[in-house]
Amino acid sequence: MIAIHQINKTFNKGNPLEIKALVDINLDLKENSFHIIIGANGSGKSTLLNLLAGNIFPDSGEILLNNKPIQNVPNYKRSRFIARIFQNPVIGTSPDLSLLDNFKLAASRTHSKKLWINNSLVFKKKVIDSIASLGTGLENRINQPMSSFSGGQRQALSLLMATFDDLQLLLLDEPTAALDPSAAKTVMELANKIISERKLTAIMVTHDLRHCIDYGTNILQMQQGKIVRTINTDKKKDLTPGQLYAYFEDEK
Amino acid sequence: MQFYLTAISLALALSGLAWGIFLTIKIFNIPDITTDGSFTLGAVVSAVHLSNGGSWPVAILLSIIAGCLAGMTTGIIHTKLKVNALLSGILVMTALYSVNLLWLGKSNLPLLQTDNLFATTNPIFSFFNYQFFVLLLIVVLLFSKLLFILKSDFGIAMRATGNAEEMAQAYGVNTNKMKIIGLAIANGLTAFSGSLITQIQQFADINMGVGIVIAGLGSVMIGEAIMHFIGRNGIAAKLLGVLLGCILFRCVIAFVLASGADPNLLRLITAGIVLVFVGLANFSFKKSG
Repeated sequence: MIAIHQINKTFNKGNPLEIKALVDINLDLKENSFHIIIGANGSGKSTLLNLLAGNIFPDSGEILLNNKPIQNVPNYKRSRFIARIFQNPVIGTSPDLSLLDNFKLAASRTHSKKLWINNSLVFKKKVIDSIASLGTGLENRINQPMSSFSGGQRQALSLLMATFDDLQLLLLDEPTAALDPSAAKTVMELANKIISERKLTAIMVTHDLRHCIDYGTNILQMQQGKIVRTINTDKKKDLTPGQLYAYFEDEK
Repeated sequence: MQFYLTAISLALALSGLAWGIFLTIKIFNIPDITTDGSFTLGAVVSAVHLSNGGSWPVAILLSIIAGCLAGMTTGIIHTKLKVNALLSGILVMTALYSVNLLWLGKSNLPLLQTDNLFATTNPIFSFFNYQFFVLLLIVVLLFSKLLFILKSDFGIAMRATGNAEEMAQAYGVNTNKMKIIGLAIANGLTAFSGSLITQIQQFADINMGVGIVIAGLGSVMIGEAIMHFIGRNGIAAKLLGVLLGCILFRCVIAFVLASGADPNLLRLITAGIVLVFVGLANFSFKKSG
């Protein structure tokens, strides 16, 4: 579905601060697969995610979505098929807009923003039903500004928002890094539920090795801009935290 | 009484400018001071068109278009050339001074025998203040149009652009284009105010825009303070607050001048009034937060 061919990305080229962020990356994401990327800081995980999102563009190589090259399509156009969850829930939602207005924006991810007020009761009902699925009673507060909700609530809402409209690929950038352990667990369970129920293709960057054991179909380990280890579904089943930890120690 | 009616009329004429400043500073989070230039630009374009025998609807339309182009220029300099927003505004404002002078041909152009939005010969209108009601109608129209835009899907994308830019991009908003459009609308509104003022006072002056940005900023700040005290934070309340702020601001200035203050101190007094309201707002925010 999404294929990455020979991607290279170097920051500060030809300058003493040159960083080879990604080197000859090849990756093939099958439909309905959930890839988890791990790796130390500076290993290229975020660069890879930003390349897929269209925030930065590769120096060479191709990103193919259903065999169509998209590596030069900017982020606001890739939103038609790619949705994102940010590390910081404050970035992933608009604090001054009401909960309902945030969902209105989310619902227009795949099309142009029209001069039209969405007063549809069907839409409102859909938003309320979606929020009610969290079971936290937030559906009664849809006219409150997003800033009145906690980080955990906002991250859970941003998951609903990102997947409100159709999507082909979901990118999650350390979605629980800014949350307390209990909120982190709630958000990860929700993400996993949405991804498996909706049969989404997803990529998640994480530093939490526990996530690699509990979630996802594949694990990719990155090191110095390269994918150094791929653990596929069948091998992943037998993986223990001890083994995973040992892989990480190898790096040093 | 007539004194305050004049102050309120002035405030209504300046409401476009105040809403323009509100758009840039509150919705887009961009400190844009193209305002001083685009306000005069609006006045100059209308004045030149009217003094050449043109009609007022065309004059107003040309002024708005000119203001939009000025705002777009600032927006393009800011987003495409990556120049700081404040500096982009200063550059365009400075350049506009020469453009305005060139267009006007001299530093002051009287508009005595020309067409004018506020001129009427119909006897029906002689019973009440025609100018005031025309302005009131304009403000109602502007308010409803702006409210419609800001509540639409397009407007929500605008508000997200200034509020959470990365998120807006992830949801399909071309934020650079949005900022250019926003600055165009804001300066179009400002130029519209310039056109109205020049028709009210029946002359255009090259210096009429100098320091006018404070009138808009003051209105926005006062409006924010008012709505904070009332406890309303919806987008309609915010727009209404700016209008009330604009009216209150003009009335306070009128009151100060009527009480015998030296007109030469007007700018000092204006800055003082804005400072008092900003200070009051921050003080009460701190207390309640």
